[in-house]
Amino acid sequence: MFDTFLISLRLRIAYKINSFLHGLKSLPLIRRLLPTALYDHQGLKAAATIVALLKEFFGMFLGRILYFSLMFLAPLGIMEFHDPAAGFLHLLVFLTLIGMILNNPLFEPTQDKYYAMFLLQMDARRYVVTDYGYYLLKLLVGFTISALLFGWLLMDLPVWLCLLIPLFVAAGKLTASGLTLLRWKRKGTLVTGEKVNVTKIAASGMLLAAAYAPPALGLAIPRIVFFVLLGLFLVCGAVAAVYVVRFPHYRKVYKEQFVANSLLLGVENANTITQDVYQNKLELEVGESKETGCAYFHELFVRRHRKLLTRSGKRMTLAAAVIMAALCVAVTLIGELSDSIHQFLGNSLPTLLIVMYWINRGRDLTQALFFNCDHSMLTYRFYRQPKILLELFTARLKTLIVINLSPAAVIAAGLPLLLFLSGGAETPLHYAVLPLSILAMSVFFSVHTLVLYYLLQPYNVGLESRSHAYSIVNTATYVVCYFTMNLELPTVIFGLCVIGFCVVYIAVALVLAYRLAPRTFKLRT
Amino acid sequence: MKLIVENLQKNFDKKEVLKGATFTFEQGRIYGLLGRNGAGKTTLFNCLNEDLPIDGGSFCLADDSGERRSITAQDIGYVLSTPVVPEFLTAREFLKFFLEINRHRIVDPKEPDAYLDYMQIDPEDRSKLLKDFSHGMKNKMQMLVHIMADPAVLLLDEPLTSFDVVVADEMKGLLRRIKGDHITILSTHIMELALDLCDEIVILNDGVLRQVSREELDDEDFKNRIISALKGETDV
Repeated sequence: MFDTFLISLRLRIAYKINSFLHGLKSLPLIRRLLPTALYDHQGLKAAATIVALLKEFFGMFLGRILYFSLMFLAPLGIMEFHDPAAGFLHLLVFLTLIGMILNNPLFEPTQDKYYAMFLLQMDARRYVVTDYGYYLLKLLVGFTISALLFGWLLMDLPVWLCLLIPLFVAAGKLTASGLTLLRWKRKGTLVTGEKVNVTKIAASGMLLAAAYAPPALGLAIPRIVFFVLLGLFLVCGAVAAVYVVRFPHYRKVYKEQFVANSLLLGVENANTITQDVYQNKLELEVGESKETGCAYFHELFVRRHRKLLTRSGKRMTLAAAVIMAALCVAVTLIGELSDSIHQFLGNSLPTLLIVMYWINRGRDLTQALFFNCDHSMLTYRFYRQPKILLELFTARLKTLIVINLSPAAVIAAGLPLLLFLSGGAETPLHYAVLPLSILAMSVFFSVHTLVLYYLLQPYNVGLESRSHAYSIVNTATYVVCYFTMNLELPTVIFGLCVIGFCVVYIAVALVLAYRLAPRTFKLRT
Repeated sequence: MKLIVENLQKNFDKKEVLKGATFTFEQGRIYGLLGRNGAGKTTLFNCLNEDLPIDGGSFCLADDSGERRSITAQDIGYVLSTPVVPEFLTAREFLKFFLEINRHRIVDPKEPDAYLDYMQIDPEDRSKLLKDFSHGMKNKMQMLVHIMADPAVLLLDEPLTSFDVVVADEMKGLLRRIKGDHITILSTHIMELALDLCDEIVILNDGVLRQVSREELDDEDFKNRIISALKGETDV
């Protein structure tokens, strides 16, 4: 058994090391500094091994610390619960039950398990049992430390009770695994965390309500419930442990899992699935087009994606109009609201940046463009002629700007009106800056998304992502918007800066796109 | 017309894939490009199609008087082994777009349906979205637009493998009919296809191109000679 454990650990570490090195290789700039025989480089390999081992070690605690902070500490703090120890135990019971339903790694069909059981033909039972045992061991260590940290130090729970928490969770997991195996044997189906299942979602929803609703009302289950469940789990868990160790059909069950997740049927990547999703959104309608050439091509594209693009834009416009109208009415009726809205419009324009980010349909458009059009068309030389590429770029940019501008225009018209109704502005400039900055943000996001798509197209013909630069820039955009949200700056100053920035950015981005896109917009090799 | 490849070199990091490949391909002949897995057949095609920058050497076209000129986008038709067509268009719409974009270079353009007739695509399929076409039908469409563009050089990567036997036979007939107008190079792993369809066999081995001459050999001996050449055993 121990040999199997060592092999599977080495396999997992090797898998993590190579994923880490592969990730490094796809980073711009850093890629150039790396040696050619990357995967054989001893120094780099040693560094990656240390990273992988550290990740494995700290992974035991980090997740649990986050879990206790976000699911226990923060809610109990917000609710100002009178007896933190009782509240802690109450949440623990219900959240562990949810975890038993939703998070059961015994049958999680991961890539490393596929390699071990099917490619390397390791003994499935030995492999699964040691792998699961290792998971439980990490769980016990992680929970012991974090339960002591949170339960004993922060919630005043006695030490002995904190030491029972890891046992409670581990025995609960084992019980759930035992039940899953039993169900497989009786019904021949597997209920694991992978498949969306209405019963499971409903049960988890109810348990979630049972976890947080009573503490919000100042209530918690008595401590005895925890002990009764602990006793029950320990008994069931012990029986389940024997069952898990002896279960002879792991290979069969996993094979079903991998087939269901299409891992065994050729290596399909996540992008192939995304492509299927986008292709299923195509709508074939009968209608003649009067356009020719690129305009014809683009018009058909937009028409076939009406639901995804124009219709969702229209819905957003309608929603913006309803919200704006409701706010206008509310401002005239409720004095308090009027004050806070006035204050908001005076110094919280940065918040609207993230709103404009969310309104932007650019991501949908570029995804649909790639998966339903460009991934195939870019293989044709005639399509890659600069004239055609840039003509289509212009047409697409116009479409995206129009789609994004319609909800933006409603917001841009509504904000000065709100400002006027909630008490007016000190300078007339305020009335002009508000709508102009909203419109500038809208055009900015349209240009930004499409230019990035043209300059950093990351996929190859097999739909595999070959560059991380695209996702890094996208994430950075979101992070900047997110952090700007909390800034409080006078609207006129921030607005003028935004307008100035957007004008410069748009000009630079368009010049770059027209100059570079013919070279950068291609499938990666 | 000739396609002259001279001393073509291509490296990936430190690995030399093409080490000075040199060959002259002539119009009117179908060349079967054979090579073992990883020999660099697709790399050679990608270089000729300018999808990959080359690290040395050159390639160009030369007309019958021997005057050389560099290759433009319109000179190459590259038919990929996995057919890719714009999923959101119908067959008819794709051809209409293609004809409009390339109207200046298609001599005597016809209506889309005339081309679809030529390719024997059923009338009821012509208004279906290409995403719903079978693998073989997509391949037909891909082949069709490349033939319509009438490029000087046709590069076919593993063609015919996705067609059923009837369509494969049709396609072979088609390639034979149009070969007079093009320099046709097809890469394949299937020896029988190469022997059946190709006029010349060219081996890509150890980064260089070599022709295997048939001379007076019968099929069996010719096959053996090709296999030895693929293994890099003999001078051919």
